[in-house]
Amino acid sequence: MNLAYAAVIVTIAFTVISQLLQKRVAHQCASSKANTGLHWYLQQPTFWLALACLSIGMLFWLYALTMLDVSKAYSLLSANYLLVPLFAQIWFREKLTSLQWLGIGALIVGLIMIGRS
Amino acid sequence: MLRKHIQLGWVAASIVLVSAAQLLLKLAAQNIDSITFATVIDALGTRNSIYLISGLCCYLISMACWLKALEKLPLSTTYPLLALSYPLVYLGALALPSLHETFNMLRLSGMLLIMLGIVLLAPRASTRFDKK
Repeated sequence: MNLAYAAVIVTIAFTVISQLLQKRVAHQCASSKANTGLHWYLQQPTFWLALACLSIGMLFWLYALTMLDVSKAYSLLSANYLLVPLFAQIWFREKLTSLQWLGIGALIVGLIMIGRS
Repeated sequence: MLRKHIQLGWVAASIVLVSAAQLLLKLAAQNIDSITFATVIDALGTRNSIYLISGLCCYLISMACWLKALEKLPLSTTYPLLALSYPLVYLGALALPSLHETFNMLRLSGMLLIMLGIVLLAPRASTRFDKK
């Protein structure tokens, strides 16, 4: 059981890191002067790192799902909706208003309710 | 103004595709009792593999749309919009009889709270571009 929770935590960590890396590489694409299409991404180590993190996260997610109740696992995963904006604020200096945090709060409560239903 | 709508279009495409991917993977997985390497291999070559492959394709295209969206939109307000895929998957599952999804009041309330959260977040997601 503890292994299952550990797997969920690893899933959360890797998917959050993947999102931050995706934002980083997308921002680099937007600010580069070259005319960039999707093929540009394939040449970026950051893109492959983001994809690797996402894949590792998914593998741990499948592993967690074999041991843990789906609804409980999904409720735990809603932590992503708090962590991604939190780290985006720190790393990319994005700003959220209190109304937007309220929106995130409502969303997470909604996700937990779905988990309990 | 038009550019902002294009950005949100990428977000919408990404969310719809990721929801379709979830449903397709669910269709692929519903005949598998447990996910092991052997059961996945067995499923290849059956109709399940069509669901599986198209589901994974949807995931890949969804990620491409997601990157296009993130080129201009801030992650902190765009990422939570992904939760919209829960109501979408739920509606899709209700519409597909073979998934045997049932109506549930608590679940519906959860969906409505998610939509409320999206409404509070979405207007800013379209207007606030990151400066960095």
